[in-house]
Amino acid sequence: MKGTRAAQRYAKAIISLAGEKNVTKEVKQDMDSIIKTIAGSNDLRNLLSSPVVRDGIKKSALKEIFKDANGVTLGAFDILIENGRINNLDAVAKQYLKIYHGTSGMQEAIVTTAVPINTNLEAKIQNKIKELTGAGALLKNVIDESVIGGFILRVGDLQYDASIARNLNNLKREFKDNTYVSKI
Amino acid sequence: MAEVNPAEVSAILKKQLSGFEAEASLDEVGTVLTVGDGIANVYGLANVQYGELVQFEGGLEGIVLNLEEDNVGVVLLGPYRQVREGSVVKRTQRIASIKVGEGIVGRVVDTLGNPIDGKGAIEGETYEMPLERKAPGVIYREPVTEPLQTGIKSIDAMVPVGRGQRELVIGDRQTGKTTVCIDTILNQKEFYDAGEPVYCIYVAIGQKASTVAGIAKVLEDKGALAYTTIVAANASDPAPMQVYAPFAGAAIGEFFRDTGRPALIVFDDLSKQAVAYREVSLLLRRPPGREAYPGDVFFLHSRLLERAAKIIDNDDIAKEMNDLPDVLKDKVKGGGSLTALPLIETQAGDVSAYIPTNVISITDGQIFLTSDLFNSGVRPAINVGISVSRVGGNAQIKSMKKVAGTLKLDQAQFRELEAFAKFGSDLDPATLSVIEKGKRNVEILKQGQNDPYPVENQIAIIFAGSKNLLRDVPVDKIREFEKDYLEYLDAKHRDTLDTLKSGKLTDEVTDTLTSVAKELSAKYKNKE
Repeated sequence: MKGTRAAQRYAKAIISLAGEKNVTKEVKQDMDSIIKTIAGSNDLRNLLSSPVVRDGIKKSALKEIFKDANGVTLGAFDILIENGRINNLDAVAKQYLKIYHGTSGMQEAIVTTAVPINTNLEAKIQNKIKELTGAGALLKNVIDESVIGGFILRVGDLQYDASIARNLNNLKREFKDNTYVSKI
Repeated sequence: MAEVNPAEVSAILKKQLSGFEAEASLDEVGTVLTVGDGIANVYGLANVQYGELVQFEGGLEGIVLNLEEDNVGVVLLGPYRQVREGSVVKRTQRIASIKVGEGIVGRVVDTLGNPIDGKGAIEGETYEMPLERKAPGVIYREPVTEPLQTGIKSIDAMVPVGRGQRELVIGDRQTGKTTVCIDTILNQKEFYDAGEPVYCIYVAIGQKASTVAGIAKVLEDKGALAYTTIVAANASDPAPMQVYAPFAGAAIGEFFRDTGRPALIVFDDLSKQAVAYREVSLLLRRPPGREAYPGDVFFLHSRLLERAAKIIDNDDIAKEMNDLPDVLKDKVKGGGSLTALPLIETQAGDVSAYIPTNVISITDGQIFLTSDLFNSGVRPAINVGISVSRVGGNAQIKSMKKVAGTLKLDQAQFRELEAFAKFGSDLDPATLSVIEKGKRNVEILKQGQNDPYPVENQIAIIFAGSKNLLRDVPVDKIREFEKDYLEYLDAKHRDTLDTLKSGKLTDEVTDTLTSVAKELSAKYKNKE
């Protein structure tokens, strides 16, 4: 999470300007597409982080790629390029979404499971999130077979761990900390 | 391999599993941004407190030492090979602390209180004592008046240590600093046997594991492990473990101190701890100061040594003590003490380096050990000329105070005149007598390793020396004379020694000592 601090500053500025102009939703869609595009295109990532490519080219390229973007987003490109922070564009976009979800009461929750969850389970997990944080969340399901069974729910800084892997790890640790073996 | 009893194995497994919980957990977590050099930067953990323990995947623990705007700096208390970028870090909601109870006596533990001697878990009830705790305030203290007998003649006679005092032991490498402290611990056996133990804590910082094992062996062989706890952060342990080891020792000492019992803690040694702290601080990017130590290295030592105290002998006031852990509140008793013997290693006798001057100024006196004396055969190599005890004088027992009162002065005079003696010129009888007496006193103050003297024996032999009763005994026969003299007194005049021990120095006692010394010294005169 390189450059998170700078990203937070820029994201805050962008969202406050967007708020004044009542376009937070539009800018949010821009940011979604920026994240998706950067994640999908190696070339774009290289272009943005390359110190060799001149700023003018980066600027025109971005404006060409995201030509439907809101004025606020386009302004953000300009300022990021001018300040030499365009390589943090991805982080800025992610921070923006985080702040956006935070202010709109929708937080992102990541559920890690061994097998995909169905809607029935999803509802149960939503209930659990409400119980833990008092608000609903956008569920994102991550499949990771190493959890073996159960699930790990992560909402912001909170983690609810009900996985088999955790129990097994605890058990393993219980045996590893053997006080009957001399360590001196 | 020894035969394994299946029943025993099941018992051990059952014990280990008894604390196991298979429930889901709800934690506040963060994500590792960077890890390396024993430091991890963690994103998240927004509510974490300074000094809180956090847990990494795989059970490794760390202490939060830097709280920044968007990340926290954590020092890792163990090998961090499993920690990767992106791994999850959990809060434990627990300020760094150590579990202490009666069962910790006789054990070897690490900085976090985990036993490392292979004797199983700490038995009995344990109490969570915080590593970092404020020292007791002025109201809860008492002046130092009770002696802490080290069993070393030159210390008990000339630089006495009282219970609750902080006396620095300083000297170059290989001058016997550790030996002085280990002997002091061994000497507490007398009190343990009498049913009033002085609980000892030996904190080994940055030493070889083999050295620590050797010390544990000596203590065990001499029966001193029964009242001693060893806290070991060896050279192979990460720097943060070494930094916090003295604090863990102090937390153990405080358990005894606050429950109304005397305790003695040896920090071996604080120079290594300062070096480890410098390492941690530099890695945390704190600005370096003199000798590259961080700005708060003085505070590191002062807050540690300030925890040594004599607690007021009044249960009601002691119960009100500041910063008491909740678990200990109903167990508090007054009258306890924590005596600290910090060690500092100097480089080529340079006491004006940064750390030595700091610790000298913090403590209530220092015992200087010099390599010159050590090499010339004066062991323990205590340089009494520059050793002082600022508060111990009040703690000396009366009989010792009377007998040893002039010893320090006598020796100072002797050292001044000794230079003349080396010229071989003709000396007047007065000078010669001072020199002869001084030589014998030096001989008297020599002492073997792991051979502490009970206080009454010390008084008896120092009495003979300072009253110049040994003028007829040749210098090289002094050790022999001392042995005879003390054995004779023990066999024939036990009551005299007991009177000395109780702090009285009556005419009757001095007469007995004088006549015995004269009688025995005559024997040595004839031998010549």
